[in-house]
Amino acid sequence: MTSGHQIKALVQVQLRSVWHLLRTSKAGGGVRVSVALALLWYGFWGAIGLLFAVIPNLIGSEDLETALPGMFLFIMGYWQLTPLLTLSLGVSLDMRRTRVYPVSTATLFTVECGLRLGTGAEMLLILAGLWAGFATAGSMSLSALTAGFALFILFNMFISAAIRNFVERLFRQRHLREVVVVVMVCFLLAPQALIWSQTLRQIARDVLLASRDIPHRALPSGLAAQVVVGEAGAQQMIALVAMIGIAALLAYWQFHSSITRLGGPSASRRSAAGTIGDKVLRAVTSWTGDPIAALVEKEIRSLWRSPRFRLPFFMGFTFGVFAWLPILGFLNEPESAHWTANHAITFISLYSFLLLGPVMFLNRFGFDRAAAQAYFWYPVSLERLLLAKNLAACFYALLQVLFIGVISGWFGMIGTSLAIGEALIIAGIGMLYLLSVGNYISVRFPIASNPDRISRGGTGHGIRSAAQFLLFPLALSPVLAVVAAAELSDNLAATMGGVFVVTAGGILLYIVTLTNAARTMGRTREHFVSQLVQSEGPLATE
Amino acid sequence: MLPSSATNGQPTDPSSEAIRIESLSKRFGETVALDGLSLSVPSGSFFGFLGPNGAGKTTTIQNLTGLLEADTGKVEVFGLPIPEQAHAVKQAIGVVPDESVLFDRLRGLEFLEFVGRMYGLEGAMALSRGRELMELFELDTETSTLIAGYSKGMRKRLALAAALIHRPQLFLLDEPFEGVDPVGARLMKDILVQQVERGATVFLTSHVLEVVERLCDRVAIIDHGRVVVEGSIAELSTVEETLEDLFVRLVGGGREALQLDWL
Repeated sequence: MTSGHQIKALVQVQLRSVWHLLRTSKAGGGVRVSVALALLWYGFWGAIGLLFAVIPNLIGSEDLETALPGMFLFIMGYWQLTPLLTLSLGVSLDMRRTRVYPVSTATLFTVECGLRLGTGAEMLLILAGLWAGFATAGSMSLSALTAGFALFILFNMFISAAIRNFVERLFRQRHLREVVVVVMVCFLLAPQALIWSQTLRQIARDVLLASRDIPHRALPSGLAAQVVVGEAGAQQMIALVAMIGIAALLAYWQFHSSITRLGGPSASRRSAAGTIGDKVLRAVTSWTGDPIAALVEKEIRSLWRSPRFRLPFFMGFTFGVFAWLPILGFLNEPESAHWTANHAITFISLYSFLLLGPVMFLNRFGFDRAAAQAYFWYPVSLERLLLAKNLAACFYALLQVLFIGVISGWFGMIGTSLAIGEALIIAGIGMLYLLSVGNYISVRFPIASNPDRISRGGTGHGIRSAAQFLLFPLALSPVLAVVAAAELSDNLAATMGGVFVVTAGGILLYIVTLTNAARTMGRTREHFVSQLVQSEGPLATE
Repeated sequence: MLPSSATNGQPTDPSSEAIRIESLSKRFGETVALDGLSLSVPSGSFFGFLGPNGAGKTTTIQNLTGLLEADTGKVEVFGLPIPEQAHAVKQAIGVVPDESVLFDRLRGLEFLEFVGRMYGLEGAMALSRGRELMELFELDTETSTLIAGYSKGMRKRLALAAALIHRPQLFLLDEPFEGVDPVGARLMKDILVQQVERGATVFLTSHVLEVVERLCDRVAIIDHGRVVVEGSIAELSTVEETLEDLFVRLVGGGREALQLDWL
């Protein structure tokens, strides 16, 4: 069999696996939702590409030619950042599983390069638009234009493969992936921080001034731009080709290392016997008594050991605080008495619940996967099981609110005990509604989730996302209404009355839905278990 | 009420039935998994439940554990009907499923303690028994490793340890030796034999007929969701025909291997 046939077979098997899974999975909306989301996303980038195809004819291509090195630099940055953010998203192939077959590393590397083109598809759309625009404007040599674009794409593809494989191996290290991703996501806040903070603006200005000295023409993006506009001499061409060669070697080396070094499943090497954490955990859960205490302990441990939970948990009190406090009026005017500022911790807490939604509320059995069937042969009622899962969620929600309060206080932004107290009360009431919705969705639309994957990829993403963004605000509307009413009215008695009504309503709703969700889980147990034992196919990382 | 002997670890009456299944049927869409299956498993027996792939063995066990609900038919464990009395029955059974149904993010000892507490053991006792079982199954060197890091054989040993922790009177074991090395398998077999000696019932599925022949005192062979033969090993395995011969004759369909030109 030729490597061409093998590449075709590898791609086909994965496409078929994904197709069958999407087709048969009722949860998540299946093919239609996935196709619609893809059309929206790539349609957006395609529209930008089209714009670039039209602009040179409208305004002339000279201005774009001048801006080309900068545009290429942006494209290169985006292209290299995307694989890091989407490292474990969707249906990326796990090449290590193909080592059992007589497929050469070079063949697998070819597939890997194809995938890296795929992860930069947005940028390819823009580049295609730019190329078409320049080509139709007619001010450049078509061969130079095409060569410049092709070399630029090759370079990005190889560097992307190198970075991705290197970072993927880094991510196999315990805890490192969360740290890297939190830092990366916080980095994305830079533009917003620049708008709000004068100090940061000054730092950025200094950095930009210093970067003037960097020889942009020596960067691959600058060299490729020179080729495109026909200004590149032999020296520049050799430099660019050499860079591509080095990038290719680097990519192959990193890829080879990734597929030959088998990473073991994440495992803790800490002592299991009687750690302080264990003692604290037992103290926290002891008041409930078994079996609920045992279930809560199991949940708290399992969640904490799942990177896919830890990441949004960390993001809640890092990204959440830094993203929202400026908007709520702190960095700009710390003394501001704007009403949103008074409830900042409350709003950030509710926002952090949104981040935690997929793992803490909407898919509570996802990490259990096939093991969820054990719940049906333990002599424990399903109401108690759901209650225990909810108590574990409350434990982490409480921690989250406290961390948000403490972090906000550290940065001198906010942090009165009154604000934290309000956040705890409002978050507590909000939890009643979120758990009510979450219990039902968790038993009705369970989806197997890999706790090692840090993204929300996988089937069922569509419905779950829709539920998250539509049901969450809806579920939280009663408590938000109380907060708004309290701010608008000075009547303490009316506020307390509102809080009482919303709390009572939440408790009633929770009790009713808990019983109902447990009944549904028991009634649909065959479907429930069958959904949780599904995976994404022989090559997918899920 | 469950017979007290079934929950307090005392030997059950050998003349009674641990499992009684009558005309059990279960369909999954167009597929008939169980087609009027009837079976009786005496208390205190080591019962082998055999059949080719897709014969309905796992579906039967899933009906016994309450995971599946039959379309028609009757299932009783220690005289208690399932699903009506499922909660009481669950207390008396220990399950080793065909897949590794373990909570990956726990350590071995944490898992055993968790399962013990699920079956009503006090925390300290569950922990103490868990430690002893970890040692018995030679998993005590892995106390700090998450189950996700266990090999297939270790997972099977841990699953059996979990099934033992509450000292049940009935074990439902689906391919318990699959993927286990010979030393580990011997250990597991010895423990199961001890359980039968104390009066517990073992209901075992396995594709390894030699194992079944050596361990079990009674056997049922099923095919297409029906029992095709049931009896003691002494009755079914003779000098002229071993259990394997009988199995192939009954469920092999007399089909000869196809000859492929290129093979």
